[in-house]
Order: sequence, then C-alpha cells, then structure tokens
Amino acid sequence: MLNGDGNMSSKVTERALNLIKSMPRVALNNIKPLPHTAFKKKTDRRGDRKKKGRGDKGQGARGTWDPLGYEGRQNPLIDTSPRERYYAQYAVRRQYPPVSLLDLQRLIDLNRVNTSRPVDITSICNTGLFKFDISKNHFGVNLTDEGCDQFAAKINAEVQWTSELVIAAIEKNGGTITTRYYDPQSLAALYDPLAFFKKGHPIPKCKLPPQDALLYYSDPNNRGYLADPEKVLEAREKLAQKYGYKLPDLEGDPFKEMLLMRKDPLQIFFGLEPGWIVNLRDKSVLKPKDDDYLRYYHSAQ
Amino acid sequence: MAALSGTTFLRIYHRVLPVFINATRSKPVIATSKYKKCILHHKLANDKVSVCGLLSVRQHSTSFSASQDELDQNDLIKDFEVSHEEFKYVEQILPSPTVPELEEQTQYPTPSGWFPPDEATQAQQKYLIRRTKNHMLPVYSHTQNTWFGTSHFVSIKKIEGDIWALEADLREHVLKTTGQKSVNTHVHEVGRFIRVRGQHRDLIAKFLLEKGM
Repeated sequence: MLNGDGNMSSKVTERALNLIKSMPRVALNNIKPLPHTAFKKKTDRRGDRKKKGRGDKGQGARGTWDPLGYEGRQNPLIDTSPRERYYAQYAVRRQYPPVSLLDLQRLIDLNRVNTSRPVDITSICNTGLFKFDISKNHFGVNLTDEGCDQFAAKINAEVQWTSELVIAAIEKNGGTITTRYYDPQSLAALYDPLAFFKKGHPIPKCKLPPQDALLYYSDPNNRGYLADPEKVLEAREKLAQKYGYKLPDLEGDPFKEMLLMRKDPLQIFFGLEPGWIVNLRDKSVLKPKDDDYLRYYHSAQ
Repeated sequence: MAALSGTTFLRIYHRVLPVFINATRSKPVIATSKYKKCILHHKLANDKVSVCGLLSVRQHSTSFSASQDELDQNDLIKDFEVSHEEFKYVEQILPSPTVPELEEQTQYPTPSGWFPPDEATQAQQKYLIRRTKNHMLPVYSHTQNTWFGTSHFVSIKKIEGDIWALEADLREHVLKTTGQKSVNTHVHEVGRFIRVRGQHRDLIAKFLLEKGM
C-alpha cells in the first residue's frame, strides 16, 4: 500500500508538472487580484433614504443643498436612463490610427514606399510622415477605404486592421493583403527599427493576439494571418464575385513570390528570426546557439 | 548597514517611498518629500517600526542596465554564430536618411492626383512658390482658439519674387470665388509668407496649382 501510495503521489506530481509545462507563463496579463481583495458593491441603500447620504444632524446635514441630481427620494434620471459608454475603458483599448488608401497611393507615387517588397507598418513608419506610439496604445495601422477608386498599385500589404472594401480594392489590382497582430514590444521595434537595433537587444518574438482579437486574426474574410491559407484563397474568389471584378491570376504572376511572402507568426522582420541580435557597427547578425535560448524564442508561449 | 548605503525604496502598504540611507551615521537619514515623510513618521510611531526594519528593504532598479549587480559571467551566452550575409535583411528595414528622389511617371496626374510644377506657366508669373522637400505645396491651414472664438487661417510659405503681386492675386481670387465682401491678409516680407483669414486652403491650393506652382 505504501508503495502504491508513493507511486500514485509521484504520478500526480508528474501530471501536475506536465500540466504546468503546457500552461502559459505567469505574467502581468494573466494574473488578477484575489477574490477577497475586491470591494463589494453597495446595493442596499435603504438606510440612506431620509438622510440623503449626508449623515446625521449638524452642519453637514442641514447646512448643505441636495446632492447633484437628487430628485427627492425617487430614482434620479442618471440611474434610470441607460448608459451609452462610448469611451468605456478608453485607456486600455487598442487603438489603430488610420492611414487611407489615398495616402498609401500618394506614398507610392512619390517613391516613399517600395512596392517591390511587402508593404508593412515599418515601411509606412520609415517615410517619417506617419507617427505611431506604443505609449498611446497604438497597435498598428488601420488601412481605410478613402481613395479606394483611385488606388492602382499592386502590392503585398500587411496591416493591423482593415475593412472589406479595402481588401477588395487591393485584390482587384492583383495584390494581396494580410491582417497581422503585433504585441506592443514588437511594435516598438517595428515603429523605429534603427532605434531598436541601436539598443542591441535580441529581436523579440511576437506574441499571439489576445482573446478578443483572436477571432479577427483567424478569420479568412479579414485575411487574418492565423487563417487557413486555402480558405483565404476561397474568400478571395467570393469577394471578387461580391464586388463584381475579375480576380487576377496569382499563379502566372511574375511577382508571385513577392506577393505571397508572409512572416512566421513569431517573426516580426522579414529574413530575421526572433532571438537574433543585430550589430550595426560590424554590419553583422549574431545568432545564439544555446538550446534554452532557442527553445524560448521558437515557442509561442 | 554599509551594504544598504544609497537610495532604496521602502514599501509601506501600496505606497513606495524613495529612502536615502547614509551608512556613515548611526541612524538612517530618511530624505523624502514633506508629505511622504509625514506618513513615514506616523507609521514609525504607531506601528513601532524600528530602524532595523529598513534592513529588509529590497533595492529596486529602474532597469536591468541601471542595476549595480555584477553579472555572472557563466550566465552570458558566448556560443553564437556571426553572419554577415543576413545583414542585407537589416538594410532593407532601415529608413532612408533623406527623402528619395522621384521616379518618372508614365502619366500625370498620378493615381493619387499629384503632378509636378509646370515651369512654362511658372515663368509667366511675377512670383514663385517652391514645393517642400516632400514635393507638396507649402500651403497650410491652422486654427487659433482665443477667448473671443476660433479663427481659421491659411498660410502660404516659401514665396519668392513679388509677394505683393501674389497677395493681390489671392485677394482677387478669394473674393471672386467665395463672394465675400472683404478678406483679411497678412503679408510678411521678411519671413516670405502670407496668411489669409478663413477656411480657404483647398481653394488657394487649387489656384496656385493652376499658376504652375
């Protein structure tokens, strides 16, 4: 029995350890306060009906006016009318500053963006004409549909947010588009690559999108980077039928290789892997070989 | 005490207070702002937190590079491969230090509606407005909020030649197209710019483009 118990406990320990291994690391985004630390919301205010929340007697109770919005014991308007909180949790929401298709076309016309390479957030930031800031919760660019009729370039675009009309406008010209999530740490490197490389830090691995954004980035209709590529091809044809244009043939395209260039979900720069360190002075790239290091930078967790 | 000499942070409930400890004295000297000092003294008096309690204070550095801890050389990764080939991918990402030169387009205006200045039409004018380094017209609109309301202005910069002739042309064009009785302008001969009161940016820009600027 003793042996049996011992085996069982070791098995339980082993299973628990395996479970912990498969779980995400403890970080600021997945911890929350203990249940007893939260304040309970005060719902029963019957005791306050005669005193108007001003306490008992004295100058505090008598030498004051009614509280703002007090309607003589009945429920005030502010409590009875429904709230429409357009700016609820504004400080923690993800922001996607807009860049229109007309802006992008102007950048291409004036040779500010190189269309022979994929166009991503870095190529837009490198023009110096648009500013993004992670401290303002800017999670990348929203490509908007202004100028969709004038847009004439064939590009491989990678944006963070977009609409159906923009996808149609780009694919009509024979281009491709992907919506891609980047976490703030990666975005800091993408917004200003030169400043990032000067720090000498390893290139970060990109985290997976948060739960409320996962659906968007795995939807083929949004050309999400986590969507099934075959379903994306189907969605391209469906969109062409919906808007009534002939989808240019991607197979026979001379720029097919460029148009289908995609980053790995963990990768933030083309050709450079997470964990590598860039040496700007010697014009070289350092690739650490340590096993633990590589395991960290090549796993999604 | 000697190990604690310097600035540390003392945590009291949810407050984190910077504390300066001088090792040469027998008692720590606590240098904080007046308000924080009061709280600290109060806590010391009520809860009888002795000076020895400070010894358990942990030092927090603002960043890894600011920490004074010596690095363990064994923790550093020394085994890595150096690649000069992959640096071409870095060069593709780095921004151009200057505005790239324009490429010749097959037709003007371009799909976004841009076209270069027309030198033949320019030569007929008494004045010249140079394009900016971004190949755009230096015509800007701005608002000014004051106690008596909001004022709208359009400023035209980088003017060369007869600035008063340009002002007369602008005045005539704005009055004719908008039907206003008057328009206020401000000509700066030294700064080589003109300000026009009103929301006339697009109107003025179109006028200047027709003049070949």
